[in-house]
Amino acid sequence: MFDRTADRTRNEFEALAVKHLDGLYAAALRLTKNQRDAEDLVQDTYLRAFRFFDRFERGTNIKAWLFKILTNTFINRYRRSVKERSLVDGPEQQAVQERVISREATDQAENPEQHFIDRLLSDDVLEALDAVPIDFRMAVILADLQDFSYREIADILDVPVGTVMSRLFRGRRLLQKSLAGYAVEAGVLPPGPTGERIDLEEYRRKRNSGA
Amino acid sequence: MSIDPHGTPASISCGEMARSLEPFLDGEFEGREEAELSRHLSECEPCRTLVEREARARSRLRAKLREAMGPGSPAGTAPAGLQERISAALDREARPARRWAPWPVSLGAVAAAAAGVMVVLATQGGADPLIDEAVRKHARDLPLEVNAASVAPEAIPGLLASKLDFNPRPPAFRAQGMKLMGARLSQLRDRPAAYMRYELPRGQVGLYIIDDPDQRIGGGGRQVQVGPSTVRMVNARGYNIAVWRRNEIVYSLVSDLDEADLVRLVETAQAAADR
Repeated sequence: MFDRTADRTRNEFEALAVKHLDGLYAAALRLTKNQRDAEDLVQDTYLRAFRFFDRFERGTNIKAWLFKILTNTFINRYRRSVKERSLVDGPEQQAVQERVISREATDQAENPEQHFIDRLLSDDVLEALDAVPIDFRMAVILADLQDFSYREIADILDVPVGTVMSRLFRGRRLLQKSLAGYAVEAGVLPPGPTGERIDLEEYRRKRNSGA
Repeated sequence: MSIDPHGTPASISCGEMARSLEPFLDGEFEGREEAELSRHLSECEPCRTLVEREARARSRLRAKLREAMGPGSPAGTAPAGLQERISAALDREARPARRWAPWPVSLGAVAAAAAGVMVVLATQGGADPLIDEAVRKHARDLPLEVNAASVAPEAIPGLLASKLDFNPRPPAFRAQGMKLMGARLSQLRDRPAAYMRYELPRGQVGLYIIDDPDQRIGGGGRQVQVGPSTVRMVNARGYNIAVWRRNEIVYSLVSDLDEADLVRLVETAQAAADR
């Protein structure tokens, strides 16, 4: 009797969760930067998710829930060992940007059309992405690869929506510049208008009061 | 929310359009907000050009990311075997009731073990930091927090369990003259562990009990089949150590016995566990 209940839960969990294995692994690989740790991270993620499955609200977004567990597990267990700290603010980030991005690459990244990107190899793209500081990298992966909304990313990373927007904006910009750097190295070319960000809340308040 | 076609929805400046570009392209606007921006675009060619250009750049970037690590790419595909590994881990997790079920072992190995023959399964080199730490701590002969002189030996696991998040049930050794002396809380590789010290007619052995639900401990040593368990035999710093697993629990027995005696000792516990 007990076993049958356990089997049902187990089957339900697998039916819901297994289809996100590749996506979770792809993200884990960019976080840990090596296959072995990525596999362990994904396995830990599934085990933890299964242990807390009774707290998962049926019918809500299991993909976002799994990515949240992946992120938390990574921060708790692996981040220290990867020796990668948050580089969101301060001089460290400056240093990373300067190291990764040459002057030439920055100029190239300002080009309006990004045709050069088409000519990059996947390995260059992954290296360019890995060169982006981890918080920005994760925001880009969640938005541009996993198609999560700002709200979902905010829940996954446990930060306000405004922070998601800022990380995403800066992450994409850094990625473009990083890609341009690799493109320059590979003898290829770049673009991108620099719009300023808006404060979404502020924007909405203004729009609504104006109407 | 729908727009009143005869009303005058607030118009948007080119500056606002430019600043809304990212969330607009990310599909973050809906209803009236989205309609206002779209309306501006339909009326303003420079903005339309800007948005279209940025949209192309965005889709180019996304396409490249997908090519590099999306579905079907090597960096976007879980390695073969990972799903099975996870399934197996979930199986262990889902069936606590079968915790003490015997492990599947070939009949030949059981027969050989019963006949007192050691079946060597594999030999792997490489120092195991866990074993090294276990030996160092055992050799330091730290004081026992719970002493069998003052507490009944049967009560010791329960006392330790209140300080650990697992029940450190020791295997039931059936060795002549073996006596539990006491126990203390320990740590091996940052994992909480129980340590129990036994007295033998000649010398002492130290038993570590470590909770290892996600199977992070393993590898190294010579693998020997003892009863239902695969036991790793390691010699380190002059001690012989036997390491084996029962589901989520790993036992590490540090001794100055010779290897054959240590195997026999482990064997008595395996036999008892199967009853």
